[in-house]
Parts: sequence; C-alpha cells; structure tokens
Amino acid sequence: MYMEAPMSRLTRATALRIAAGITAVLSLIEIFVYQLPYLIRGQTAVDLDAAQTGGPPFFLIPIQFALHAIALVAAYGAWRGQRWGVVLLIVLSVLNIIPGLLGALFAPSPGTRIYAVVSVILDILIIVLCLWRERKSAGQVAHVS
Amino acid sequence: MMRRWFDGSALLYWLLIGLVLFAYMAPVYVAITQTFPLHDVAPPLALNLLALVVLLATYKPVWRWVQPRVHHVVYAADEPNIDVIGQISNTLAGAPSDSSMLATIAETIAQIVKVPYVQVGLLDGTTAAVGTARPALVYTRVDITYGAVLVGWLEVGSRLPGEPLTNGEYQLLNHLARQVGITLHAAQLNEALQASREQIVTAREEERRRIRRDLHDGLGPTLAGLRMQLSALRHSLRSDPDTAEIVLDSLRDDVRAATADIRRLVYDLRPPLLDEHGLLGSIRHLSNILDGATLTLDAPATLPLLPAAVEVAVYRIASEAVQNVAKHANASACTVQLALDVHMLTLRVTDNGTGLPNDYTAGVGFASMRERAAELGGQLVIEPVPGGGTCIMATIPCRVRV
Repeated sequence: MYMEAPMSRLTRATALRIAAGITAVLSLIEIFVYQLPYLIRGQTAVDLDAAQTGGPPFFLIPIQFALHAIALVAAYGAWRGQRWGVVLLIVLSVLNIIPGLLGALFAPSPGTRIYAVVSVILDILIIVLCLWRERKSAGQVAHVS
Repeated sequence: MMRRWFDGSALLYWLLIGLVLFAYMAPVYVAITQTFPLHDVAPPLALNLLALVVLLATYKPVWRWVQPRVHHVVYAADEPNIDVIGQISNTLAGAPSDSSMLATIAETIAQIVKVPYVQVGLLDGTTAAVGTARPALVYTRVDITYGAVLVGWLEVGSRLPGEPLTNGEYQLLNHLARQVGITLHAAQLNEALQASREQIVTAREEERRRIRRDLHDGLGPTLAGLRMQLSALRHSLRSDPDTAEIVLDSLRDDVRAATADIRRLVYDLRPPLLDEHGLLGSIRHLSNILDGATLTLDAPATLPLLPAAVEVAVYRIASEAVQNVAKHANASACTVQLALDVHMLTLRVTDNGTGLPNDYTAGVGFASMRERAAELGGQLVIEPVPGGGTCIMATIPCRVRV
C-alpha cells in the first residue's frame, strides 16, 4: 500500500510553542492575579472570605501556586521541544482541568465561571497541541507487506 | 535480548493515555450533565445516560486520535542531533568489521529510532535483521550510500500498524544511513585492501617461484654444462685441437642460449624497451609485430613520469592486444590511443579487422590483460567496433601530475 498525505501547515515545533505560550500566559495570570494576592492576604482572611463568598480555601492556594510555577518550567521545556516538557505540560493541563471544571460548576460569580470554562478549553487545546503530529512526508513509505 | 522487568516508558504511556482520556471525558460529562438547567447539582439519570452514550459513541475516534499521538510523544526518537549521531558513530567505531557488523548496526538503529523491526542489507545479498517483521506494520526503506555509491539499504518497520514514521524520524533515518554508509564503505575497502594484499603476496611468491625455476632448470644446467665443456676443452686444447674447436663451437652456442635465457628472464621482469625508449617508444616498436598492417599511435607528445607498475601493465596489455591483431584480426590498420588525466590512464587498441566471432570465448591472452588491469584497480573492456574491427580498452587508475 502506498500512502501519501499532504503536509500539515502546522509543524509540531510550532504547535509546541503555541502550547507553551498559552501555558505561560495562563500560569502568569493565575500566579499574579489570583495566587499571589491570596497568599499576601494570609490564611485567616482567605478562609473567612471562602466561608462568606464561596471562594477557594487557603490550603489550595500554595498547591495551585506550585503547579503553575512548575507549568512555567514545563512551558520552557515544551518550547525547546524537550520530551519531559511536553509530558509535564500534558499532566499539568489535565490536573488544571479538574479545578477548572469545579470552578465552572461552583464558582461564586459568573465572571469567574466564564474564566474557569475558558481555562478548561485552553487546557484541552494545550493537550491537543502537545499531541500534535506532523503529517507524513510523501513517498517515504515503501509498502505494507 | 533480555526484557527489562520494569518498563518506565510503558508506564508513562498508559499514564498519559489515562490522563488525556480523562481530560476528554470529564469536560464532556460536565458539559452534558450541567449545561441544561433542569436540576440542581446531581444530574438526573437520563442526562447521565446521555453522557454515557455520547462518550461511548465518541470513544473510538478519540482513542484513534489519542493513542498514536501519545505513543509518539513517549516512544518517538528525537530529531537528529549530535547526541544521536554521536551514539551511532561510537557504536559503529567499535563494531567488528565482519558479518556481525550488520547485526550491530541493525540493533543500534532499532534502539535509537525505537522501532520494532530493522533490517540492513548489502548489495551482495547479505542481510541482518532485528525484531520480527509483521504484515500490518508500515515499512520505510532508505538507501545506504557513500557519496554517490550505493552501499546497501535499510528497512524499518513502524511502531504501530498503519502509522508510518514522521518527517523527523525519516530525516533521522537518513542521517543514520549516511553514517552507516561511511562505515560499511570503509569495511568493504578494508576487505578489498586485505584481498589485494594477499593477491600481491601471492603474485610475488609465484614470480619468485617462476624465476627460481627458470634459473634452476634453464640457466643452471646451461652454466654447469659450460663448466664441463670448459674442462673438456682444457684437456683437449693441446692434444686434440680439432676436438677443441668443436667444443668451442658448442660452447659458443651454449653461451648464446644462456644469454637468451637471461634476456628472457630480464624481459619478463621488465621489458628493457621501456628503459631504452620509454612507454611511447616501446609502443611504437610494436609495429614490428604487425605484418603488413600500419600502427598509429595517438598519444600526448610526452608522458609524465608514470609508476613503473602502470608502465609495465600498459605496455604488456598493448603488446598483447597488438599481437592479437597480428594473429587473428586480418586488419590493415591498428590504432593505439593513450589518454591520461589526473586520475586515470586510458589505453585503447582499435583495429579495422574482421572483429570478434559470434562464438568468441575469452582466451588466456584476454584473461592475462584483464588480470594486469585488475591488479592495478583498473578494468578492461573488449567490444566490437561499428563497421568492423575490435576495440580493447583498458582504464587504469593512475595519480600523476599532468
């Protein structure tokens, strides 16, 4: 069998760079807009806020901060086309989907819910980009015996 | 090859498969069960069933999309880089230069490209394979070359059925094939060199044996006979001058025969004409052999200093060819062309005679010419000339300053 396929316009290297870029932007937004302000306010204020408005409990904040810090490192690895970076990015994106879905369901404000839904969609997009494969080059396949 | 009891890649593969499928199923489930505002938090059974149906319906295409891609992430070889090229170079540098080298090459490529089946083959039909060829795999074939010379081929089976290698892997395979080509070419040259050395030693020993036989059987008895005749001459010189005169005549004939023997011996070692007249002059002298036919020499006015072996080989081939023309061709003209460039000397002997008969089979003379050319790494071709006649062309590698 002779197989021939047109070349995909999006190369794997470009797909990985897009995924790394999205991850870096999302992680920086999470770190500077959400986690750092919560960490600065301290456990008492955050837990009180969580009890009154339904925000996240304080113990989740350092975990999410660490995950997003690791995601930055993973984004660097994926940008360089390293396998460890790609694998780490996939794992972290899946882990990010869980709080994203919870946020989409239980977040107190519509804005936060919309942000959670968008982040889930972007995490799925990141996974798709990390698994992106270039099409096979024409003529390289000899036969299927 | 022993299997490892713990396969980290397989663990990572299934972990990623699970995570990615979860990343697909969880949002789909949530999207179906929570989008419709028909309930509070716990979705009704109907929505759960709907979600299950959707997931089951989309399972197969999602699996088909996810599985080869995750497999590629975990198992695919990296793009060509110095590490990989260095790895193959190191392996090949330490590989033995015998038939097991092919197996080493196949095994190394299978490890580097991470494919289940690799077969390496040479042009002489020698092959070595690692893994088992399965019908469902997609096979990629790459030529192994050294420069423009085809050395062999490389066939690689895909990791998954129906999933050929990617562009990057194909490039990597080509890089590896070039490295392998250098090694195989070097190995073949090494074998050819070894064979050539053996041939040279054998030829030298045969030549020594021939000279020893000629001296022992020809010149030796002649000189012994001369000594005996001299003794007889000494006894009869004063008492019987007539007999002495007969002995002297016999002595003269024997000395002439011994001189002819020595001349023949010397001629076999190196034609004296070459030293007296040079290659071009010696070839011109071949016109003496031709009976009635004209010999034309088409060659540069002067030749650079050629290696002695090349000079002798060219002269001997030309001599044999002209003798064949004289004996068999019934030709009226014979042309000897000599062309020389930086790397190659070409000798062409053409006649306008009757040409080769249809039932022609190469004899001792042609075999001898071929051997002389082959000894120096050259070739000899015999072909008919359009319009009648025969052309003998010898090409001999020759590094000279033109």
